[in-house]
Amino acid sequence: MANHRIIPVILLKNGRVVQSKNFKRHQVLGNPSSIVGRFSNWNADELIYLDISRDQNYDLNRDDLNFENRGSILEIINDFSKCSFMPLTIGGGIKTIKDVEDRLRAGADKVTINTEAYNRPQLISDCARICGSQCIVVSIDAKKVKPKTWEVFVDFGKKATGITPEDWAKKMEDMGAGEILINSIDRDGQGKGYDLELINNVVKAINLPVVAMGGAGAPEHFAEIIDYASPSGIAASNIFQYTENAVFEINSYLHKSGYNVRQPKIKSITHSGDR
Amino acid sequence: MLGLVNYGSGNYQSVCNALDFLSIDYLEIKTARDIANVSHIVLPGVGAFNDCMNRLEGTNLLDDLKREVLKNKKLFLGICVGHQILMSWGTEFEEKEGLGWIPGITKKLAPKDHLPVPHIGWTEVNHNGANELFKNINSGATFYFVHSYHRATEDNEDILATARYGDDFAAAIQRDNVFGVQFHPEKSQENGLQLLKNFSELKGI
Repeated sequence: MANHRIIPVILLKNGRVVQSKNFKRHQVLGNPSSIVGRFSNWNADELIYLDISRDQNYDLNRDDLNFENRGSILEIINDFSKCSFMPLTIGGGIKTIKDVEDRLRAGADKVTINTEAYNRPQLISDCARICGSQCIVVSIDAKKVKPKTWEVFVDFGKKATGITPEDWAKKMEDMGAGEILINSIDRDGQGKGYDLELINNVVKAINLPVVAMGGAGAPEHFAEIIDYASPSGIAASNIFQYTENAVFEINSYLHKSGYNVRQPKIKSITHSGDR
Repeated sequence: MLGLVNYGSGNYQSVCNALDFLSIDYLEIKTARDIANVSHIVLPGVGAFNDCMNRLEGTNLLDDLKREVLKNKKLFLGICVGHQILMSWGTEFEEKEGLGWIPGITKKLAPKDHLPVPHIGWTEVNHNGANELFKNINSGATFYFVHSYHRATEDNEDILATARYGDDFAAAIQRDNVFGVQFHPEKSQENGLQLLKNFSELKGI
């Protein structure tokens, strides 16, 4: 049995790591290389890196900290994968098979596609055929629109689609996606726990691994979603940025409580990710 | 010297990074002459069986690989799909003949308890501790898997290590000088790095 994966998500906007609240507010937290190095040292199970930049500007512009300026997301992936030997998923702005192949070649293991999967579902089956389903993650942003009813939104949560997350996840499974990342727009940045029903609905609807996202504010929230929906992966962003050793703490909490997670370990690979 | 076959596989760079990190010298294998110059060969692999096999056939390296591995007994390690194409037959998307260096065919995972497919995540790998490939790695150590297909065969003879995802399946196989691992050592943190180091230190047959 595969262990539940605890997955930090790093949101990148114009070369800076940011915090997100309800898909609207984005507060700058720092430089990606140092933050990525930290997660690597903490033995995270996997890392998701979502680029939410609206333009193609990845200039880190931090000469004061001795970081080189980085020209593109590909260089950031490249930097990361030289110091970190764990699975890396990259998302944001992917529109073509070439975008996917470039990211995989640079060192990503999976890519996640959101809006373009809606605009052009064929992209998912084309990518699956060439790169394999296992590296194609479709991410779905959903909002509760009525009691017990959720709707898929695209374009950074701005555009309603009229489709339920279950139906969309099923369609993406049929098109060849290998994993579904389901994110609650309502819970984004709230720290009050996952949208249990939304995630459970998607887990029940398909036979693909599902990664839950949106709302984690405490280790108990991870336990709660495993109990309720047992998703394959549990992702979160802010909690990992603000809490010291959060990966280790959450992993330890779950492991001690008897959940099926990897044995917690703090830093094992001795290599400086904090360049 | 270790050689890494570059045939356009998505995880080529990740394996390079792991070897760089371990300070293991390696050569990028692009031509027949490169194969002659190495003692150990690693075949990375990710994606679909037929696509990987087609790409490998497209390199014109196959005859030389066969000679150096099967006749000259150079040590060989296939990773993920690089391990699957060691089998004689693949069934992903379309049926495709594999290398046939180790008996078996690949089959889609159909785990009991309706576990999702692909199998993605960190899963315990069990071995008997006798093989040098798993030196300094505990049985039960976790490795990162991401796959929808696995080796299916009646014959358990070549199985070096197993993992359980609903049912037990072959996580690592070996026949003579040919090794294959279903997981991704280049993405399995310290356990994976140790395995790559172990392979690079294996003595020839």
